[in-house]
Amino acid sequence: MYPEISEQERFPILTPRGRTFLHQMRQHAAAPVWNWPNGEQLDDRGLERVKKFQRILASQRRYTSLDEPAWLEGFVERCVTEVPFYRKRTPQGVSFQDIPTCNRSDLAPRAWDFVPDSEPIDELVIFSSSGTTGQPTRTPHHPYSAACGIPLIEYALRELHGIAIPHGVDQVAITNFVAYPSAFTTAIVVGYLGEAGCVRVNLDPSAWRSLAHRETYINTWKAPIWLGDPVAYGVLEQLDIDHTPQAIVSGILHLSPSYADKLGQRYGCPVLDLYAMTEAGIIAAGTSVGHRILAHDLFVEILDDEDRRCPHGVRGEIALTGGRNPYLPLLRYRTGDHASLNLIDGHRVLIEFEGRQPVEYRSSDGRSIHSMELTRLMRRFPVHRYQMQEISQHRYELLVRGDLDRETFEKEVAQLFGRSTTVVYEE
Amino acid sequence: MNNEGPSLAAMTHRLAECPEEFLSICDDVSGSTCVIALLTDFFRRFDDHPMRIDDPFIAKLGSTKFTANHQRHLGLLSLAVWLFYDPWFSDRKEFAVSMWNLLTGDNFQSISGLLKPRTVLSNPDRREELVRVCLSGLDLRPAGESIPQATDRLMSLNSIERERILKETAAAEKRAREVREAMARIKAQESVSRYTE
Repeated sequence: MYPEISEQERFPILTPRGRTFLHQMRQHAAAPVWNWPNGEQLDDRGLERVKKFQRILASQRRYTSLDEPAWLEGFVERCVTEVPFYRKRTPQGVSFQDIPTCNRSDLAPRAWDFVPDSEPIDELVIFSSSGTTGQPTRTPHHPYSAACGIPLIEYALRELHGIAIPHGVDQVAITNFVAYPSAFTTAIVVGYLGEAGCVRVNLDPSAWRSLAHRETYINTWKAPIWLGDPVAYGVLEQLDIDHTPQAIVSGILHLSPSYADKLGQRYGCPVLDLYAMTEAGIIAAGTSVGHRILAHDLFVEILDDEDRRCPHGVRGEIALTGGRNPYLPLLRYRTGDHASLNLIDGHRVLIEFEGRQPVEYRSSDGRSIHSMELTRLMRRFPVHRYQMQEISQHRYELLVRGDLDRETFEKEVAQLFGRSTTVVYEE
Repeated sequence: MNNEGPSLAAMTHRLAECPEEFLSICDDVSGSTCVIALLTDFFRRFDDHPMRIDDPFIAKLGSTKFTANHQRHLGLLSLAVWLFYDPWFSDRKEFAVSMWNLLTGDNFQSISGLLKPRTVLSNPDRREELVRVCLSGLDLRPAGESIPQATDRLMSLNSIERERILKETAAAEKRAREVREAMARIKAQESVSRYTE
């Protein structure tokens, strides 16, 4: 079931040239099966907000301390006044460091409680996540906050590698690679990039009318920027691609330094490892000394188990405050990821950052199953929480909590994993 | 509530003993006239009483259309006058102005929108609430209570506060329902591209 929205809703400010280019990308003879007809949903005002965000991002001065920023007080005030979740649990007049932290287990069951009272909800969109934490979450987002991903990638590429993303219609600027059955595929034009294209293609054979189309399509629309995860890049390496990108970017799953080196050598370009999460978007980008925090509107703390701030250089859990999602202001939000924090050359840097690792399972017939396939399956059922445990080699136990149609659920699990997985229901 | 007043038990007992006539006079269109007469008689006892017959409050009370809400307002005024006839107040003429300000104030009128006079007589909590409202209007608290105790108890009984919380809760539930519905719209599902999944 996909969002049946009109082209006008998907692209409210599409120009005639942009429309022609969009159709060229979508209706190419070798195009994959497009299964998710989404868009940016940005009107003039939304696009201007994205551009304003980029201007502030690009004009950031070097940091002189890791102290609480000036905007924090007003942000906290708004959160405890306007956001039901924070209002209920935050005592009046409490200092910032005494505000209780929260995490995905708070967000997952009541995401609507994080939407500020005064925020109009007619532009609300939903992103689902995640297979890696076992807390399937449906997170409210705004087209503006989603669209800010491109300026953040652009900023990181320019700051760290001197690479610019091309702007202007009639060219694909970014190809986003995924590789697992039933992954979303789409082609859009990006307003912030002057209607340059961004395609998301699924390298899994099931997503193409003909296997030969994969290379043809990718080689036709030569994107200078590749996005993907380590699993997708692993598949891409097997294909006959006739060009190299200017930069490779790895998104939601952590790219190991050795694999990043291998990709860099193979394609002769820098590899950018992003730290991102659904709740906050892009947070940081990998450098030689650690992951540099990119956005000016995020305050990052490193906390111990008792919600106390760790001294600089001491490892702890990364907690976020701020962000640009109007429907999900984060206030001391524990990410589940760990690092220490330091100020290096005027930049906030996460040291020895440990992100989520790519996970692959094996079906009973030896097939490799991407963790996102499990995530997608979970999204179709009212699952509150789940955990996949390997009980012996290639045999798994799937612990599930939720009010499910067990027969249908077990049938779908068996279709995905074969006989390698046993479902156990938690009360 | 800076000063100690009479005992709570004595005041609530007095209210419970209020003659039915104090309410029945408010049951028809002559209620306004009766309550104005009651107020006039009460305040006339004070040498320099604050009540003036041409006071806008009296004029408004006399000209307001007889509705259920107005009837409740008249009934509460009548009960308050009965309460202030208690001997504890008889020798304390210094409260005359505060009494007048209390009875003619917006807060008292707001309470009358929420409290039914006959419920005040039959329900111990509402009886206690009216006593505490009347005492706090005179900057008094029940004898033997600390200021925090009296403040806390008045807050917990306060019909206006209870109504405000109920309204806020209803508004919060309505908002949560609207957001949940917006989140469930098929059109909203992953309908915008993101670049890190």
